Amino acid sequence: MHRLLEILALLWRIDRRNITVVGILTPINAVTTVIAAFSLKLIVDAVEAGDARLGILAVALAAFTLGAAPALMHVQHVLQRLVSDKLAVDIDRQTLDLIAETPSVAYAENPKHLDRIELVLDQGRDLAASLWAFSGLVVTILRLGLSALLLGMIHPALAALPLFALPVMWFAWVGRRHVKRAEQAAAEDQRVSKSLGDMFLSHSAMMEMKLFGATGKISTLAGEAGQRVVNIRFWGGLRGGFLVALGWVIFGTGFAAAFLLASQLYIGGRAALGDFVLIWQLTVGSLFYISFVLDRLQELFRAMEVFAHLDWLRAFSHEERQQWDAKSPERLPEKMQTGLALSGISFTYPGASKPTLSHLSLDLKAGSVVAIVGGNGAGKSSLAKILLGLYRPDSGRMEVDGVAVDQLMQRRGNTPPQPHIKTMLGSKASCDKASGLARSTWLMTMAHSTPLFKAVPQLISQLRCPMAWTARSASRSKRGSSLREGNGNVSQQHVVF
Amino acid sequence: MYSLRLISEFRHVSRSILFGSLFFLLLQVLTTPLIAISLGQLTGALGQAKDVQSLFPVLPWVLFVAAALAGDQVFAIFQGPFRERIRNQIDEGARTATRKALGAGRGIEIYDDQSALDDAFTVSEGLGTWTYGQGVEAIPILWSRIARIVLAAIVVAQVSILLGIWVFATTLVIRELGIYWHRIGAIKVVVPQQPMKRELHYWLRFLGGPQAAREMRSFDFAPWAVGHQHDLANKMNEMSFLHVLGIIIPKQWWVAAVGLIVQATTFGVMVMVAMQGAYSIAEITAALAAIIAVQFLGGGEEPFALIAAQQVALARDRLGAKLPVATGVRKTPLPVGPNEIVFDHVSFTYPGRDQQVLESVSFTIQPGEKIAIVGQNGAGKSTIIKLLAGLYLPTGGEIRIDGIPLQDLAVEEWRRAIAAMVQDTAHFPLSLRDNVGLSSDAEADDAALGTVLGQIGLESLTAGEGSHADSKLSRQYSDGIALSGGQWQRIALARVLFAATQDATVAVMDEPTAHLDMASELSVFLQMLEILSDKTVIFFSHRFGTVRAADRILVLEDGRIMESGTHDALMKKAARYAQMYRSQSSVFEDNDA
Repeated sequence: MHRLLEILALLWRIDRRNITVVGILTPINAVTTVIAAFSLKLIVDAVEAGDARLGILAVALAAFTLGAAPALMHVQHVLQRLVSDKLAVDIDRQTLDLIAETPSVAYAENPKHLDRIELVLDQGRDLAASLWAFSGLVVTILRLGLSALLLGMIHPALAALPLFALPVMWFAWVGRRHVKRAEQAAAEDQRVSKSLGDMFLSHSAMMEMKLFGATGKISTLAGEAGQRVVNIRFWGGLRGGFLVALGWVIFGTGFAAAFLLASQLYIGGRAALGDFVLIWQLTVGSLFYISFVLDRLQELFRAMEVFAHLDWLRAFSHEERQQWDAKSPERLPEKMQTGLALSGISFTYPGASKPTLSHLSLDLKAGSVVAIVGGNGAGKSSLAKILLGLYRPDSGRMEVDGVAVDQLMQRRGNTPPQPHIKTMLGSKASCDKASGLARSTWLMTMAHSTPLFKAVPQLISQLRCPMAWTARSASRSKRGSSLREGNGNVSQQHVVF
Repeated sequence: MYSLRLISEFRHVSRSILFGSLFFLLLQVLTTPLIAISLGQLTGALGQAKDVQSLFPVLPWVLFVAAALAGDQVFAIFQGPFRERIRNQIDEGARTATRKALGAGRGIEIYDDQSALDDAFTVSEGLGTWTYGQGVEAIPILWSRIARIVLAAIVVAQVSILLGIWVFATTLVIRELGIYWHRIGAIKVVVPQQPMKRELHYWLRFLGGPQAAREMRSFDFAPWAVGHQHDLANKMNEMSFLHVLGIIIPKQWWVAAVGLIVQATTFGVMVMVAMQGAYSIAEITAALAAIIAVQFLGGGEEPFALIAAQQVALARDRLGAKLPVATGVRKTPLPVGPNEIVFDHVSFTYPGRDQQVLESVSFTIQPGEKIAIVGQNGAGKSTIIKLLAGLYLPTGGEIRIDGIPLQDLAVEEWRRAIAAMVQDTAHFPLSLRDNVGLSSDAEADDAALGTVLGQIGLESLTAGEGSHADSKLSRQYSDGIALSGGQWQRIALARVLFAATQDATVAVMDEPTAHLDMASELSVFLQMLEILSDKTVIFFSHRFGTVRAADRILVLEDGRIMESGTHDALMKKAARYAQMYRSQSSVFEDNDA
């Protein structure tokens, strides 16, 4: 229920005007369909009684409710769709913000987390559209109530007929778990199929696939994964369907009982032929509404799963931020004074059996240039990721000027607190932060690539003298090489893994 | 008209599912007139009934109406999963067909054409919120609706033939009127939005998916990118809203007015006919019930889905017209390799660009020769690979394989003869086995896999109990394992080695050892050359340690071959190559100092 309120508040915030219009149109349209059924009863009554005046009134009422009112219903649906589209954009934004605010990248290597995110990204739009199941549900209940009122006027027992719709809804609710299981079981295949499929829209991937002569193979693999998703969903839907079908059988029984009762009343002279039309018409109308709601309910159940995943993402992102959040925040120093110290850092990738870094201790003096070298798989990239805050070490301490990094978090607007490694690297003030940071990682991970050997001293010298070099570096390459001449041996310290 | 063409898409759907769905659909079609007639019979029988005993003849009709009503819903419920499955199968089928079409043919020029990619995107993702399959699947539903309307009109015609025709015609007109402005909106608003939607899709998957997780944090661009994605989405919505609020909604006055006149006429005539007393109450009730039933057949979302599918089909036609078609001209089969490769004054300019990348490049590679091509970044090395594999055709000069011009050669056979590795291989979310076997028609069995992995030092991946042969090479999947940059490069090398055990006779490698450390680099590479001793090997490298091992070295600069010869000859020549070699070794000397 709180979710419903949450959504309503969100809708209200997103589009107040159209929500109001929809809110007014929805009950009007529901009542109109009941009046339509009533007008048809009047037509039969008029014919049976040979009453021309009643006939004209009934025809006018029917023409209005069945001829003109559908346009109004169409307006309602079009506006609903419009609001859904707005909501979908908002949900996408929320999701992406939550992902972006999560400080570590651990989720990107966790299949379960990725499955959940995939469901939110893939079905956030359906979620927005299915919200109308709520309003549909309210309207259907309203309509069933009105039907009960009209039927009760024929005979009190007939007022119970709308109640037979409840098993249908209840069974639909019970059957939803099949759909839920199917969704979760299909998520990974869905990701495989999508990521392989996206390769066919990518220039570089296509070039490679053609070089390998592998386009047929990969499109087949993508298709197979897609087919698995289709199959899993099909069986999930079918299983859920059996229960709902049972609900309809109960409903049919109720309808037959109502008709028999009405027949008895008719023979006893206590009902008119028009009443049969009314019962039938109200039932058909209700069926129309119920099946509409059922369709939406299927989407809604799916949407609730999506919501659950979104909630999980919210909690997950929050928890991750909590880990990094400073208990007693310290201001970042304008410039690093003494240096960066790592002590006893250990790190094991989630799910890996062996630690990648164990008890690593390292002192990096402020302003110094450090080369980190080592063979393939020695842990260089992992250290870079830890330094950048992309992973949180399992144990150990990372300090800047003697202050633990955990305490150096900074919140900027609605962006997440992030350890300002850029500041720690001492290149904050004048050089473009993002590029400065990026290049420093690059150095660490790519420095063994020969063509970069020439560039390394140049880049290092620029990091230390952070003059504009980001966008203009290419045109100033000549100056870069002259800087190199002046710098000579740039590395003051080596750390060998 | 498109409906007829689109219906052929049902070939992607499995027979049993199709028949199952059609069966339920047929049952639904039949319920419409049956309910109307049995309601008529019920009221007729009631008119003659005098006491409770005489209710018995009524009983079957009551039960029949109840069963038909409930049955209609039950059929619809079971039809639901069938319909969804049909849609999804059609979507998957269309996607696979488009991917195969993009993958077939010689070149990749189409990837320089943004509008073609937009169309490819439209085929795979659909239009607006509708997928292609939803629209195609709507066709039998819409036809069944028309059948229901016809049957209902026939019931009405029992009372008045003219009224029957009127009901049939006006139902169709009102239905068309309801979707007319949506159709215009689809063409004028939604289709032009597809490029934006493609960008939006890209950002959503890029920012939400795992591939950008690191860069987005270390470059700190997430706030900007998420904002950009949001702005784009809002812009798209605004375009749609203008159409909805400005055109579709105001036009509903017309729809309402026409509906009012039509229904007043229908019911008015119906009441007049009934009051004349020429027909029994059973016939009148049946006709009225039929008129009412068609009211529920005009709506639904299917017409909108069909409009979208028609636009998707147009996009696919546009794309198809740009994709190369098989000309039927028999290409020359590739002679048994290794073959002689000749670049004869080859020049090349990328489509739509001015700058020439290769300028009159000529060289001949003998079968089995080991060739290294060196040069600065941007000297045109990767262009040579693309031309050699026939991904682009030279804009000047000719490439010949054993004397046969490349464009006359059966390109599939030629590519099968090439075992290639590019500098940064795409990380295909496939199993280790599939990744290694990607470049060959055959699948790598355990023995072959073990052999090639052993040759490049990755034997631990398949050793013993915990073999990862069928694990995906990414921790994003539940059975996945993560590889380091160096390991990925070894996988790419293993792919070349495996292809060489199959049909490949030429190995083409771009920076084969860039991600390997110096210690492993040379030994791995020399061993590879030994394994590939009877194949032609062409490799591009910045690492002069490996370059030395080649039979012949070509120096490429600014799209031209500047020098050619063995390492010793080129060093002796003391020109460009010697200069590049010395400058690299000087870096090491600097660092060692």
